[in-house]
Amino acid sequence: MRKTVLAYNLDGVLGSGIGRAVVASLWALCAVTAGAAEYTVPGDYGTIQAAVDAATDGDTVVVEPGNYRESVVLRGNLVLRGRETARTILEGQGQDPAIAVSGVSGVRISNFTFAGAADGVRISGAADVIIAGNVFMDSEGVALDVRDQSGVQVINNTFVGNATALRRSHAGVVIRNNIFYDNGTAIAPTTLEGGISYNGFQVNDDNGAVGGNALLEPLLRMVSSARRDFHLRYNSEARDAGDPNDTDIIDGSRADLGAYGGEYADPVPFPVYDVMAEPDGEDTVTVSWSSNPSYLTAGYRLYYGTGGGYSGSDASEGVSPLDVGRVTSFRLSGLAPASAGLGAPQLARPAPSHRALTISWSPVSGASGYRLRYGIDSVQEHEIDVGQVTSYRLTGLQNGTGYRIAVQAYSQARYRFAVTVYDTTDARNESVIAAGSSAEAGVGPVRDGPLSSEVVAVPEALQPYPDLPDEGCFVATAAYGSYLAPELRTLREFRDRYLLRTAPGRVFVGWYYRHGPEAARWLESHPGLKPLVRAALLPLVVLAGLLLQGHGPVLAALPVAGLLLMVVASGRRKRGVAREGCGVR
Amino acid sequence: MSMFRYWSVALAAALFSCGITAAAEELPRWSLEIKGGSFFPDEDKWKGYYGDDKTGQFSMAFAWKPLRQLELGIDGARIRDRGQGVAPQQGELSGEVTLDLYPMQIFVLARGVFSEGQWLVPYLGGGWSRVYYEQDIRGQETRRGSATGSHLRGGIQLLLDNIDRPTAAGFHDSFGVLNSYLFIEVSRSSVEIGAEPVQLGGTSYQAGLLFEF
Repeated sequence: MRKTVLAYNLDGVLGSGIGRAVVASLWALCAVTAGAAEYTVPGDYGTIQAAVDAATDGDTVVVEPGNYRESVVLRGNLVLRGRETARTILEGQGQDPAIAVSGVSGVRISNFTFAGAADGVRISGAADVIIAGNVFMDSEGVALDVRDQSGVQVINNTFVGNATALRRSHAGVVIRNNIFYDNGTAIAPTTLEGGISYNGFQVNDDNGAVGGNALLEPLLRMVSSARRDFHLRYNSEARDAGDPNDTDIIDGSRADLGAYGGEYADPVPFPVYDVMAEPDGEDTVTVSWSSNPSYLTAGYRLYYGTGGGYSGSDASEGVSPLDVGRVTSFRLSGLAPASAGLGAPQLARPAPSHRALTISWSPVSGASGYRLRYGIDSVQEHEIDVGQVTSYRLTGLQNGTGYRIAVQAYSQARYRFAVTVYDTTDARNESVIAAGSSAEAGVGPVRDGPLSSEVVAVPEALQPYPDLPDEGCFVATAAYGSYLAPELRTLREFRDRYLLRTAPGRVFVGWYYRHGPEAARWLESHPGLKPLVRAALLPLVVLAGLLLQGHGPVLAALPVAGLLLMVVASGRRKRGVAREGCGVR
Repeated sequence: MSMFRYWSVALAAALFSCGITAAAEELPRWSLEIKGGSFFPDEDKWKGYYGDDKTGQFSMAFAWKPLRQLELGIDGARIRDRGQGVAPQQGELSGEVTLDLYPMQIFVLARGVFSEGQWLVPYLGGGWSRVYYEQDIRGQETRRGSATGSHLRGGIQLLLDNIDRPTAAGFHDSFGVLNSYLFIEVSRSSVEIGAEPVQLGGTSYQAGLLFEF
């Protein structure tokens, strides 16, 4: 936020001429100093536009890493920069450019990745604008569009995969030390040549105006387009290939081409990704990661710890973080397994519901998870690892059946590992721990605590309040007279468990819901027929009940038994006919 | 005569009589209400199952005024509560039950309007109610249905135009709103369902804004 610098007590001097002069001088000082205010997004303001609107001439707006979908309009003279080029991604909204600059002077836009915007940055009627250290990629329109007589310097940017990378309307625009890679048109129009020097062009459909000292089809060798990491590899021909008068802020050498060279480059290395941790012994874990092939990479630091932090000190190799050099895997040993001595959880009375029980228990100190054991005769019949929760809904049970339930805690030391990369500079600039820079692993054996005391619980269908009828059971409700009749409960359960789980069943239920009410009304007006309907429904109720009670195999055997009976009866009849035939003869 | 027929006839008669007398005046004819508040169900065990004897209610109503003193309208609301059911064999509360009620009401109101620009307008009326319900018992079933009944409603409206005339003028220019009221309303409904009657009605206390245009 803006810093307050004026803190003098001016009482007593205000009345004099000298006093007024002092006040005027201090106000001027205040104005100059206050101009250096710095705002962060999203720290101070939720959006880039809000921060830009709050900033005054000379202020700086720093945007933290993240994806921003905004179309920002710059109205003042300020510095707008990303904290990390590769991870501060700005996408425009609709057809508007991600940043529009108009009618201002003394503006710098640096260290952003403009990704996928229809247009990246559009500048018109502006003077003294610096566009530096940015990546422009995948723009369907014009990635950087400089209109009118704007005074603009486009220095050390990387343009990748844009329809048109850069378009300018006059030759006063300085275009230097940039990389143009795989664009439709690199610099348009071709007819304007002035101001272009020391740029690299590779696999563009049309390079357009290339200017002086151009590197045409060099081996750029950037790290990874897929990861949006456009640092240069050690054998890139874009290294130290910029204007000899320009210097890299990172290592002090002659400027590289592209977004990570020159005066405004972001010095933070690209994060390490694909970190994995594999236990390979009682107390050892091997941590591996993808290499960072930037030519600035000096080595890696390995962090470890428990409890979500990285302040481990128990590994034989040393205290966290460990400087492991230029390797991509490292084995840590001597990590401490979990200590024994877990207590038993206290089980609360399970809450019954339809074919389910909700089981809750007290947390156990040091537990890294819980096992739920249950069964009808013994708690050892089934086991579920429910993880680190203290409540679990156990489903797929039989209503009316008593289940024995117990819970036990288990523990295993959980270590967290993270890897960063640092560069070759004296400052040893280090990458941040990003989402893919860390991994977890269990170390040592899993130790089980004692079982809780057993409880027995019985699932059953719930009765809601108020006990409202489901007007879906039209005919049966009319026939049995009450929605709460046990036959209806059976039919409803059959509907939910069997019919609604198959496509033909759902079609039937849909048809019944459309036509059932009419039939029910007819039945209500002919009460004498209700016993007949009940009799007709009885086989269905019995069959549904058998299925719900788990007697499906018995039902399946019935048609087979019937078929056998028919075959036997048919055989007897044939033999009888044969005997009668013999008798005739 | 059933309740529905009774109210239908009353509504038709009111529409007919008011349509004759109101034709000549250029006064607000339509109104839109947006309101919210609490619903106190009549079922006495509600608190035991849902944790509170009331729940939230949100409503909208659209009405026609053939006379400044008479209003005919339709009101739709949503009432939701989450609670538990009972395991009947074990006699304990358990599980999760979500009950949604969607009352729809057609009403006739008499309004105490004696001059345009009157600060406070009391009103009283009633009408036909139909409540659609959906009761979801987690992991078990969802019950749906509807029931019919009647209701009474009364309240008082405060004319906001007298307090902030520039805003009132802006409302008129932008949206065609002639009058804006802040109001509070009490509504009492009776809607029974089932052979062993379950009462889906209750008392609603709501406040909201009414726009006449």
